[in-house]
Order: sequence, then structure tokens, then C-alpha cells
Amino acid sequence: MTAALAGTSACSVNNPFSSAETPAREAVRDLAPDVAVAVEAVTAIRATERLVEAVVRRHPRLRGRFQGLLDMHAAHLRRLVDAVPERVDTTGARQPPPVLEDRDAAHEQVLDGEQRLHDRLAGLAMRAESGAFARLLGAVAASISQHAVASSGHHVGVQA
Amino acid sequence: MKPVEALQATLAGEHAAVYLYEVLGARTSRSRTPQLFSDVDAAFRLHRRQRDNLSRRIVDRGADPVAAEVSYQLPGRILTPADVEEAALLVERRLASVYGQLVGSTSGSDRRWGLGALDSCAVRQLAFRGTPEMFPGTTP
Repeated sequence: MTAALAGTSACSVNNPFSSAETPAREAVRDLAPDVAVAVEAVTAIRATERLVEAVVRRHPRLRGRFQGLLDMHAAHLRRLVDAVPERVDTTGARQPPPVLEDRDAAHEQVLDGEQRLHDRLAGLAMRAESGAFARLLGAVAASISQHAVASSGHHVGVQA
Repeated sequence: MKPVEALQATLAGEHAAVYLYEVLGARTSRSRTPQLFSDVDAAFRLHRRQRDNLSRRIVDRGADPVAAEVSYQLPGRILTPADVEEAALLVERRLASVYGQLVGSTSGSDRRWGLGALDSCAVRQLAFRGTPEMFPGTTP
């Protein structure tokens, strides 16, 4: 149920590319390939950042657990935003997705969101034509995996 | 760097990792530090598979996989569980950088595989007292 709700919000609320008529879609269509990839990456990160912020607002006790994720998203955006032309709107959906009332469910909602963002960025790394940019996107995706695992607060054993 | 050169550089890194994890396994007590032993053992087996996978990829391109060195210099004294963790963390950090280079030098299935390996290197660092980084795999 949690995953289904989170999935719905990601597709219909948070994805500015879901409609061919959105400004972001029109802007991306005319950009050089890697700039378009950067725009998609920045928009996706901002959407996930908004979700985490909304969850922390609704469940303040989760702030300590998720502050690392928020700092990480900010650092990633600082690095990536330079690749996006000023005229492109990367704000995406203005409204954050609905936050689940149950704190544990909201925690899972964030982790689901981070996993989707990770997968999206790995897909964008595959599309990048510049090797250096692919490496950067791969590093951003790997950082998300690290931070998401670290936010669980448990020892992570090595998976053989 | 050409794709096959990046694959060879990554294979060289995995040869070193397999060697080092074998040493770390021999210096870790299964009874006194079972979690660490399990992590080192799992990492050893995983890196051996990565090494074999890379060798196949290189052979598929008609090249000869680079051979392992007879031995490798250890990163320092490895006497205590903390030394083992520190050495393992260093290996995973260096390998993350090598896999980052692989991602940047390849495309298609090699890049996809490199992305997965970079990701798992980054997460594995946490098992050895590593802390999350903002851009793992981007620094040498």
C-alpha cells in the first residue's frame, strides 16, 4: 500500500515530463543531449528533496535520520545545476506528494522515493554521451544508495 | 581511456582486492569477530566473481586479461580488527574510483555493469566503518 501510494505520487505528481505539454518537456526537447539529461536529473532530485522535506515537516522526529539525505541532495544539486541553462525551469511539481501519517510508513515512503531516484539517475548515466558526466551521475546514484542505507541506522553486512 | 583499457585497469584493481581480502580473511577471527569475518569473507567471494566477470568481458573483446601480480603491498600493519576494517575500506574506496573510471570510459552493458559495481562498492564501505560520501568514486 505504501509503495503503491508512493508510486502514484511519483508518476502523476512529481514527474514534470509526464505530459508532452509541460514547459520542462518542451525545453528539454531542444537542448543538447547531455544538457537534457542534466535537466532531468536536477528535476528528479528536486522532486525527491521536496518529498523528504515534506516528510520531515510532518514527522519532525525523522529529521535526524534524514538530515544526511537533505544535505546530500543539496550537494548534488549544487554540482549539477551548473549544467542546466538558466532559461529551463527545473522546479517540477510545486506541491509535495501527500505524506503518509504513520511515521514508519513515511520512513518507507522516503526510502522508496530515494530508490526510484537512484534508478532514474542510473538510467540517465546510461544515456549520458559524455563519459565524465556519466561518471558524475553514477557517483550521485551511488551516494544515494550509501545515504539511504546509512539512514536505516543498522549495520550493513556485505552481500556476497 | 579506451573501453578495453578501462576494463583492464578495473581487472588489475580486482586482482589486488582479491589478494588483499585473502590476507584480511587470514587475519580475522571467526569466533572473536564473527560479523567482520563474515563481511570479509563475503567481500572476498564477491571480488573473485567480479574479477572473473571482468576477465570474460576482456576476452570477449579479443584481448588478453591482465595477469595478477605475484603479491601486493599491504596498506600498512594489519594486526587488529580495526586495521582489517581500515584496509578493507581503503580497498573499496579505491575500487569505487576505478569503477567510476570504467563508467566514464565505456557505454552499453559495460557501463551498466560498472554502475552496479560502483554502487555496491559504495554501500560496502559502510560495512567497514565508512561514512556516506557526496560523490563516491570520483576521487583517486
